[in-house]
Amino acid sequence: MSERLFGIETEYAISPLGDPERSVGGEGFALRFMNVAAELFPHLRGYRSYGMFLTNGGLLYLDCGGHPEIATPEVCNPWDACRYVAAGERIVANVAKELARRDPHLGVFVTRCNVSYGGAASTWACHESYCHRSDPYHPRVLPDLLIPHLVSRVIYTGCGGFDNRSRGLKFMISPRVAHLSHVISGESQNNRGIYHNKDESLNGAGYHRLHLLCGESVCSQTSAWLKVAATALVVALIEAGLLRRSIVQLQSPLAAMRRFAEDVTCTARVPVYDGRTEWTAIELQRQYLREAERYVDHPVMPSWAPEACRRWGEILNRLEQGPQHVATILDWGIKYAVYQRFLDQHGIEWSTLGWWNQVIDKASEERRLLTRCGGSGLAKTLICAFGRRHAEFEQLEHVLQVRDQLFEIDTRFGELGRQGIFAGMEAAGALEHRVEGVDGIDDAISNPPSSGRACLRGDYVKRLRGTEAVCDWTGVWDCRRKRFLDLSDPFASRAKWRQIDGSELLPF
Amino acid sequence: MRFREPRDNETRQRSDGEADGNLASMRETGESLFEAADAAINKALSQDSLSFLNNTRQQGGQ
Repeated sequence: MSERLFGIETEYAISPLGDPERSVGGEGFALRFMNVAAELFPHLRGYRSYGMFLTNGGLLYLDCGGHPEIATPEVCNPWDACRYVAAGERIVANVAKELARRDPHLGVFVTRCNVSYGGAASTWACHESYCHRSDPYHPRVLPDLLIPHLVSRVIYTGCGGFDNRSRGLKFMISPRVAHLSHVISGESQNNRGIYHNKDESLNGAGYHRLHLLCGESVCSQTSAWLKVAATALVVALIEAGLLRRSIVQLQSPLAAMRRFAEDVTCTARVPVYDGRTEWTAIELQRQYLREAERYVDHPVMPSWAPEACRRWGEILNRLEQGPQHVATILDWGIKYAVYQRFLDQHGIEWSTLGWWNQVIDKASEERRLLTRCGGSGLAKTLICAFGRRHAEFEQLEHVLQVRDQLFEIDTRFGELGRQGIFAGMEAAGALEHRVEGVDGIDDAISNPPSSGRACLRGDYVKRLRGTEAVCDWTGVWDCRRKRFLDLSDPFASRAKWRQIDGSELLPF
Repeated sequence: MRFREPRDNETRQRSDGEADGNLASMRETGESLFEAADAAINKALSQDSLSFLNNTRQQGGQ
């Protein structure tokens, strides 16, 4: 059995709420967040990776757009991945709580939601890193064999929500997909791709890092667990050369991903490369699952592969039966059920959303007229524009109000803390998303995983905190004692310090 | 409250007995889900969603 290493980076959205006179938004507020975090949590300053390395081996830093981001330590199983993501959430929530405590006029809102509905149509995300040793002389192999997996896995990895580039209510299994514009791209803030080919190994010893940014933060443990487990198995199979001839290729990966992300029935078919057949996302996933099951005992596979295959198959079986069968398990399934219900309660049928979206788009085009018209004036304008269904047009303002409420609900669904909607449903015992064995969250706030270089890193962050030492993913520099701990081997298990001279001490 | 029954295109063919059992179970689960969702939404939702969305507007990240 082989160990696989991976990690998760989660960007959070943080906003000051309360007295607008006193609130500081954007990066200024995020900097205050980071200063409080530095006071609360023992750490070593990051060198190349700006921010602070924590005693659990992870990194807290401020990413672009003023988003606090937590990168978990490198872990070798999906339980630890979920455990350290949850620990990161508690770290962020604790900092937010302390910020609010220090300023009684301030409310601090933090959410996992990956899109902004406030008119900016912006996105941030949850990235994954997988350590691998694929052949660098065949750079197309990894993307070619992985992309159909990334395209189709959205059916169990999507966080659900609305396309925030639309003014209407377009539900998507994965709203992040609306922000992907390339199949392969090295960019991360614009022109994002399904497959991110930025080459930043953060490893030595022949290891590479696959960095994915097409995913989203999810609340469901089942979803988060399966996302890393299934993807790590696929990467392992590719690394071992076991998938080469068996995986069908999509004719248009981007179009296919959008189609899958918009289809809650998971029955949409997309053309594959030979043009003769069309496959569903479930069928595409089953081909990967079949290969993982076939090679489950292969030396390249981790010890948890059999359980991953079992859970993978179970969720595909559920998805095959319809969205109601994941309505208590997956983020998008829960949202789909709850949002339909919310619309029903407000007298709007889900099936009419397509029509309302057309109306809203038309209304947006008529912005000049809309600004002059209110109430019945708005309705008259639209009646003139469309020339039919008067009664429905008169409901438009009600629909827009409900739309804004649903956008707020979606933003608050993943809110950190007990007031979040997912957290509230979880506390009421209404959800079935948990994965047995994802526990010890409080311990993971301050302690590293038991294996891999993160174990050493976390240990030395504890020992050297408060000194002039600095840290990075690949090493620790102990400036006072002029020594360097090389962590370029991701599986390093023993601390091997070496003395360094002044020229090797980094300019801090 | 009831869980929305599957539409034609959201379900596969199943035996009648199995479908009845599943439906009853789904209704029960759905009631619990919706009850919890109603309580959580009522607690979380502000009086002015538009202001909330403006106040929580974010710049794009990675």
